[in-house]
Amino acid sequence: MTDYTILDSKFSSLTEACMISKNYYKLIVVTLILISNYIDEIGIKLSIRPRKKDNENIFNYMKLINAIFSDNLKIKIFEDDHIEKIKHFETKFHKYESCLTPNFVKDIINLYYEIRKINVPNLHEVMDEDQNFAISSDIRFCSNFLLNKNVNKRKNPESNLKEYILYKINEKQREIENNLRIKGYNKNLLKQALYLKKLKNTTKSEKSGKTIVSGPLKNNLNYQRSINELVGFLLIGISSVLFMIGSAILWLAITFPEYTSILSVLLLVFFFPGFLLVFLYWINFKKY
Amino acid sequence: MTNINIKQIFKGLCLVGLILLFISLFFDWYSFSYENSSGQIFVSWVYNPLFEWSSDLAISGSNLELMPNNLNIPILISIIFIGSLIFTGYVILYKDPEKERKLQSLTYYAYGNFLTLVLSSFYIISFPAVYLLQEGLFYPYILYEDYQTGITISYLFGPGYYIQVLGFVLSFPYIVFYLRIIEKFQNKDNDVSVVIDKYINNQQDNIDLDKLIANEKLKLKGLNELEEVELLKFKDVIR
Repeated sequence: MTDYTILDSKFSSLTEACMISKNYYKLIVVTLILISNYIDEIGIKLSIRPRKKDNENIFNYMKLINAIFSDNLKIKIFEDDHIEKIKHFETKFHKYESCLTPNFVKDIINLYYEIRKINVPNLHEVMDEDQNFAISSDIRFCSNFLLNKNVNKRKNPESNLKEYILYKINEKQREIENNLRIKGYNKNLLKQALYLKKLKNTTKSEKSGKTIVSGPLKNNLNYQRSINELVGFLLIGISSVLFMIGSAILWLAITFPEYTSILSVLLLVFFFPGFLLVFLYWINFKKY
Repeated sequence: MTNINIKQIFKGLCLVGLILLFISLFFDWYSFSYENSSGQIFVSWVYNPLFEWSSDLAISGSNLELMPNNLNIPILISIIFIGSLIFTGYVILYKDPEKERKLQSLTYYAYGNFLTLVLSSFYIISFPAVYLLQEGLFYPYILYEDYQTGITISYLFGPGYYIQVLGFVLSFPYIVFYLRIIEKFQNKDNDVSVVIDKYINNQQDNIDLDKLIANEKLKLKGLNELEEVELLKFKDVIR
């Protein structure tokens, strides 16, 4: 990922050197490249196909991004003004050498930094916990409520629950779209809209039932709690061994009934602690 | 005690358990002996799963007469067991789920580890219930005194069997925990963000600002440079 702090520092040095040497051509080309790179990054982050550099201008690509988002979420990523300026710079620069003036350079650099202010979410970026909770808290509440309330789980409440969750997701989506239309482009609202779209898709599709972990496993709270299960597994391991040996002795007693009286004590010695340990496990660890 | 410490402790115990499971194969698992009224042992046999029956006494007379039949535990199981122990040791040491980027890739390792437990269980339960019993040998510790002849017969599990049991108990928690984690958790496709970053870098035009800055500064010092030629190739990129 591009480190923009370093890039800006270097670009600033280059600008200074080129303005002194009056090498405006170099500066304009570099700025256009940086604009092109940034627009490419925006497009890829928003899951738009990359720009076809052989036959597609930067401004046409920007129009494409705007068209897609206008159709889906009723928002524009780029201002029309910026698109027009880019069009002006791209076409004029190739045609006229006389545009190589300090003012032209200044305008194009300003435009670059205007476009840099546009900060789009990466579709593959994880929502932070607060935003996640804010969006889906009522959806999660409803799903928890319905699952706990339903006495007979075998009556398959999943289909009803799914419908309800999808209804709530659609409701939330409409709310966000309205906000985007009224308040204009907002990175967080766009992020929420994209997240809800993903949530909708995953709710519709079959899930493996696994807990999804983003980031390192050791930082996951569920995993941290799962580590406590190790002590429980030790109890289960000991009880397994006791049951195995106890079963072998039981089989001996069945095969040689004359020794049952002798072996009965051993059966008690092995089975009773085994059951006790299972009981202890059930009381203390089953909740995990 | 923090969770990480608990995990490390059980991981260590698991490794100790695996070592015990391995060395148990070289100890005696079962012994039976006949002792006369004067306390002299005249029949003594010990069993090892790899080497079958052996005796400290001379293999003649009563000792030879009362020699039990070979139990014929398939040697293949022992070989697979040793292989699975080595495999599990490798997985425990080098395939930590916390360090793995894709948990799903550890699924087969987790099931391979579980095979170790299954084979150990096979030894613990089937050795006495199937193999010993078919020869009429008792367990876990039976002392039979014949008052008429004054002979005492003892049947008992050897240290190898108890080491096997201990090894099972020590290795069980971490192996089951490992499997549980693989079954319960799944990485969000973090690899995708790395792939996306790489893809973005590949799509963007690489521009060496350091070189451009250096050349411009050299130019200011009046030296010639050929970088306009390089820069021309970018002109085609921006149409």
